[in-house]
Amino acid sequence: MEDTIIQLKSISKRYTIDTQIINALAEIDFSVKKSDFTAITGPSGSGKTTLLNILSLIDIPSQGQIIFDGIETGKFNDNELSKIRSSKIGIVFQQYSLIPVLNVLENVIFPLQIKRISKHNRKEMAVSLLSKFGLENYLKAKPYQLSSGQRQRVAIARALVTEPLIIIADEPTAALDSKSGEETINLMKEINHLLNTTFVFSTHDMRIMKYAKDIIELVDGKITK
Amino acid sequence: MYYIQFAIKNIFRKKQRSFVTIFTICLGFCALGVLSGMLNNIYSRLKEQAIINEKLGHITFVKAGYFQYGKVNFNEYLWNQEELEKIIEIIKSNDEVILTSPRLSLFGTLNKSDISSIYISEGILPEDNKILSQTNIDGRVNQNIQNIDFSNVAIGSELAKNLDIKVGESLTLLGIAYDGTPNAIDVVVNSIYNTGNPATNDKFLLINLEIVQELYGKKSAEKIIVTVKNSKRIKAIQQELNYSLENAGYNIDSKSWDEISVSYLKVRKMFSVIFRVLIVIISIIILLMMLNTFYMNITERTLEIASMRAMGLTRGRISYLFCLEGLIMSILGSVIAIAMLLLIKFILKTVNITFVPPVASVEVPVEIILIPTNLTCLFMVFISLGVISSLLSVTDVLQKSIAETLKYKI
Ligand SMILES: Nc1ncnc2c1ncn2[C@@H]1O[C@H](COP(=O)(O)OP(=O)(O)OP(=O)(O)O)[C@@H](O)[C@H]1O
Ligand SMILES: [Mg+2]
Repeated sequence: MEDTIIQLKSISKRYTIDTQIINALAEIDFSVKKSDFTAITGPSGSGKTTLLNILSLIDIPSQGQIIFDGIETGKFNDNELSKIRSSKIGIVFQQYSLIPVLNVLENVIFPLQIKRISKHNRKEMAVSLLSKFGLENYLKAKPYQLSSGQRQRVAIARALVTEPLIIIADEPTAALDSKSGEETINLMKEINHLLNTTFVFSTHDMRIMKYAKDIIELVDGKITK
Repeated sequence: MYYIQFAIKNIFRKKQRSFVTIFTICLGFCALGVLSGMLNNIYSRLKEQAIINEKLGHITFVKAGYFQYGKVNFNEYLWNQEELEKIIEIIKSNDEVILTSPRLSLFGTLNKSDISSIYISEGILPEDNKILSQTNIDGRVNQNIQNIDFSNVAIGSELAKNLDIKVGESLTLLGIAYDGTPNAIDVVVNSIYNTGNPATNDKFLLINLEIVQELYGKKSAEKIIVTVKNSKRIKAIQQELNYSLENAGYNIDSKSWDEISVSYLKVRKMFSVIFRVLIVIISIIILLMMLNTFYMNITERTLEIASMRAMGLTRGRISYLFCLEGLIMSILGSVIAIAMLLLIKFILKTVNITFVPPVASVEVPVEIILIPTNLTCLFMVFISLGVISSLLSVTDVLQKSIAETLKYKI
C-alpha cells in the first residue's frame, strides 16, 4: 500500500435543496496509486466533479475519510489544506483558469510563487517545462492570445511545474475541439509515461477514455465498475 | 514585491474602472483638502485678528484677581510705576520674548463740539504697537496693516463716521482718574482706521499710553502684553514667566490669547464640527463608490479567485492581494489629490481673491493653508477606505467553498 497516493473510505457527499436530499456521492471507496492514469466517466450529474473536488481537497465530504499521502485530512483547516494543494496536487480546470493579466510564463510561475520557490529557480523551472511543451515562443503571450488547445497545455504545465504527486483534471478536453482534445490527452499520457506522474481526470468522450489505464464509471454517486 | 506587481497588473486590467475609482478618491480628498485648507485660512486670519488687531499679543499678564474682578474694581488691580518697571524687566530677561507692552484702558464719553458718543480705548505705546503689528502669524508677517499713527489717538472708522470726525481735528475725551474724579483731556485725531471687528469699529479708539497715564494722573498699567518668537512655545513661556514673576514676589495671573479671544475658540469649534461631519459623509460616499466598483471587480474575477484558491493560495493571501489593489489605488488617488491641492493653493495665491472672514470687517485673501498633519490624517482616512472596501468586497467570495465558486459563471 506504500504507493497509494489517495484513499477514499466510504465517502458521501450530500446536498440539500429545500427539503430534498441529493446524494451526489454515496459511500464511495476508491484509491489512486502512483502512476495511475484513471478516467472517471458517467452521465451528467453522476458526481464526477464532486468526486474530483474531494480528491483534490477543494471540497469536504459530508461523511467518510480521505487519506492523502498517508495522512488523514479530516481535521485539517483551510490553510493546511491549501498547503497540501500547493505542494502536492496539480489541478487542471475545464477552461477559463489561466490568470488573464499574467502571461504564459507568469502563469506557470504562479504556483511556484505560492510554494515560495526562489525567484531564480522558479523562472528556470517554468521556462524549461514550457519549452518541453513546445511553448517556448509564447512565453510572453497573454492567455487571450492563445488557442484553446495551447491554453490547456499551459494549464497542464502549470499543474505539473510544482512536481505534484497527482494531477487532477475535471473534463480537461471538454472545451476543446476533438483534435486539440486528443493532443491534450496525448500530452498527459506522455507525462504519465515519462515522469510517472499520476493523473485522475473525468470525461464524457469515448475517444479520450480509451487512453486511460483504468476507467471508473459513476452512476448516481456510486461506482458501478 | 511579487504581489505588488500582480496587484498593479490587475488594476490596469480595467483601466477605465480603476481610473474612475482613483478619480473618486482624488476628488474626495481634494474636496476635504480644500475645505480644511480654507478653514485653516479662516483660523489663521482669526488668530491674526485676535493677536494683532485686538492687540491681545500672545500672553496677557495681570495682577491676580483682575480676570475675575477687574471689570468692577478696576483701580485695585493697577500696578504702580515701580512694580511695572520691575515686572517688565523680569519678563524681558526671558530671551524668547519679543515684545513687552504695558496697557491701561480708558472708557468714557468723547465730545466733538456738541455731539458726544461713548468710547472704549486702550492705551498702548505707538512703538509697541508697531512691533506687535509685525508679529509672525503662521509664517506671515504683515508689513503695513495696523501701522497707524496714533501719537495722540486713532479712531475706529465707524465711530469717526458717526461723529463726522476727520484726521487732524481735535476731540475732548472724558474719563475717570485713578482717584475716582472725572477728568478731561484734549487730543488730536492722527488717523482713522478699521479695527477689523464690526463690534468694536464704532466705539474703539487707539490711544497713546502716555496720554491715558496723563489723564489718570499716574504712570500705571493694568496689563502687560507679551509676544514671543515661536508661537508654539506660548504655553511653555507663559509657565516660565509665571514662575519667575511669582518667585520675584509678584502675585500675578496670565492668559494666552486663545483663552481670551472668545470668538476664535467658538468659531473654531463650530467649523471643526462641520468639518468632521463632512469627513464622515464624504468618507461614506467614497466607501460606497469603492465598494461598488470592487464588488463588480470581484464578481468578474470569482472564477479566477476560485482557481487561485484551488492552486493553494490561502484566504489570507487573496485578501492581501485585494487589499494591495485597494491600497495602491487609494495611495495613487491621494497623491494626485495632494499635487492638485498644491496647484490650487498656487492658483489662489496668484489670482488673489479676497473675502471677509466671520466676525471680521476687513477683507483677507482667499487662500488654502495646507497643514502636513491634516493632510496626513486625510491620507490615513483614504487609505483605510481603500483597504476596508477591498476587504469587505472580497470576504463574501472567500466565505464560500472553493467547489461552489468554481461553478460560478459570469
Ligand atoms: N452546490 C450544490 N448544491 C446542490 N446540489 C449540488 C451542488 N453541487 C452539485 N450538486 C448535485 O450533485 C450531483 C452531482 O453533481 P456533479 O457536478 O458532481 O455532476 P457531474 O457528474 O460532474 O456532472 P457533469 O457531467 O454535468 O459535469 C448533481 O445531482 C448536482 O445537482
Ligand atoms: Mg462535472
